[in-house]
Amino acid sequence: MITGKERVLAAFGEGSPEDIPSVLCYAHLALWRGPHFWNDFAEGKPWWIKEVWDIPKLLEVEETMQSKLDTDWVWGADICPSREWRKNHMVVPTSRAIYMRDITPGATVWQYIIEEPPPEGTHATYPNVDLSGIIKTKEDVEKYVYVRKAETIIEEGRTDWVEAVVKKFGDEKFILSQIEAPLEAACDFMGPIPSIKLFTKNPSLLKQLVDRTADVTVEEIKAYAKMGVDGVWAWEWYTGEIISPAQFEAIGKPAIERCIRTAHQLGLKYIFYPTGVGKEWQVGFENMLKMKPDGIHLEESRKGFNSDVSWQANVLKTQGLQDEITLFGNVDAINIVQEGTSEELEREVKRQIDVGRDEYYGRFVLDTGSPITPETSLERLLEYMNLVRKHGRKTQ
Amino acid sequence: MSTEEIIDGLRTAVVNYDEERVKKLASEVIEKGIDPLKALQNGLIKGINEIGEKFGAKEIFLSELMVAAEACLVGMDLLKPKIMKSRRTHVKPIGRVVLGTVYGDIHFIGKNLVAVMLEANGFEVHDIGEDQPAEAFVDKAQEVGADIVGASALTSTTRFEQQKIVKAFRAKGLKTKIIIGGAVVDAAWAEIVGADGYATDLQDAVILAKQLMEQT
Repeated sequence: MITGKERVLAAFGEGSPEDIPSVLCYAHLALWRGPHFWNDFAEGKPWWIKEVWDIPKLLEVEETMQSKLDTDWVWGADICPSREWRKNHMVVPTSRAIYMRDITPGATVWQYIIEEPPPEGTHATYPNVDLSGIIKTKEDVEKYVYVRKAETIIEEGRTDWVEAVVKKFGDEKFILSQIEAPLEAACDFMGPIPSIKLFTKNPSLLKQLVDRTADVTVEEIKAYAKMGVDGVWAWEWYTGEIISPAQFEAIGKPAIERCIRTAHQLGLKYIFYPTGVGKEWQVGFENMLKMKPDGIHLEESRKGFNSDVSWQANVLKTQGLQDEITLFGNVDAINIVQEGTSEELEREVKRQIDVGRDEYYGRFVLDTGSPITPETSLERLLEYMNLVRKHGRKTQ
Repeated sequence: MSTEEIIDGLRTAVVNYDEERVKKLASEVIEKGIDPLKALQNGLIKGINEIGEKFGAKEIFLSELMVAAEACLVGMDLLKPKIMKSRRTHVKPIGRVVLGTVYGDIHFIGKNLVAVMLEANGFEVHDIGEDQPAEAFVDKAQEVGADIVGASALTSTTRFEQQKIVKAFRAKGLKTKIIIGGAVVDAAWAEIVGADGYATDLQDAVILAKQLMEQT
């Protein structure tokens, strides 16, 4: 019997790709963090176990989710707060509110109210720090952007969640961890608006910043590799219409290539998820492919850009990359999975699988283009997953 | 420099993303007593509209667009007090717009750029910020007597808030025109939520707002 891990690895060229793997990107965004799906998977556990990173209980949630959805990968084996932080924080539920209490020895005990994630789940948010007025020179970059070595990340217990996931699911499933892509990470330090402007106003400072954030990402990749994950996922939003292909080439590409090289040297698959990319920015897309990530995953077509998988497969083949880069499908999470009829859903799943199997020779993983929405019911999600298995699997 | 050169210099400074030059030339407009309204319309607005067209044609990208918009805003801020003073009365806007990003969504880049474009094209814009519930849109629209309300949503999980906003306005019997925007919005969605329109890009947003003003 073939495992999910073998299925995904075969799609990455390690074995014969009989099956099209079924996976869910950002599974934790709606499925794990939003109340609707949390109730489906948590079996009565309170939502705040996520806030204090109660690893044994979170593993149980993941296990229930996997037993119901049976995806071929486990999403989100990510770096978590340090062991010390977890030891020194506890949740205190009261009738009035749920409090997070900091009980660090020797420090003043203080607590603050934490709230349940909103119904729509929590979306990746912009950072709440803006150092654009402070980071002005290369020295500032080195001073404010701290590079924590992989060994330290592990020693501090920041990979405890990763380790637990690998131990629990690693034999059966492909384990995937998120990394902060260098350009996106630069945004964390400058705020989105200042960093976007820097591409035009001060590209050399931005390049220094991006090179430094790449140092941080490289250490994260090393830590993940030591924990035994199978791949890393890099979401990059400085793409599409945000910056020009020339700006990407000059500032982003060298840093991202360094991260990809590191992943390759350590035997990890690097899946690149640039947002807002479609036919309209084909030059930019081709630039990204030249970096040779192991997998490319574009969002579903939206207003202003068309990213149909058939077009992607064509571009990849034209570039001669069909034996090097795995293509990810991008079933529309809203218009098809959430709102489409059963016939539309099946037609689209089959169409994308046909593209992956016939036009792209099986080096293909089926996924939604963006996260499953909270408005999608569990029944609908199961219908989607069953269809992927029905059309995608030849083996048992 | 002649008056024409200064005004055209403002246009080219915006097109060249040169905020310092905009500042310098806008100051010259004031010092030399050049008609500030003419400098605004034939300089800054012309420049930002050119930039908007280039962006629409994918000749430039968001980074350049934002830097140009910033330069334009700096110039507008310098010229506006003079315009008001020279006219002795407030220059009547062609319409009042309340803009915001819907509840649960903290994206703002597109909304802010639409605000700049609308303001540059003569609208009075009230930006209520991000993560705003439907009631906040209603309250602000009533407070300022808005002709148009623009609700932005970037994520698939938050666009349903746009529907709530339309319903909130209609429930109160308000005839304010409501336009929606954002990456997950299209004409079909605009129809589903009952919005008065949606814009595909910045230029389109200005055209749509002007068209809606003709209907009010």
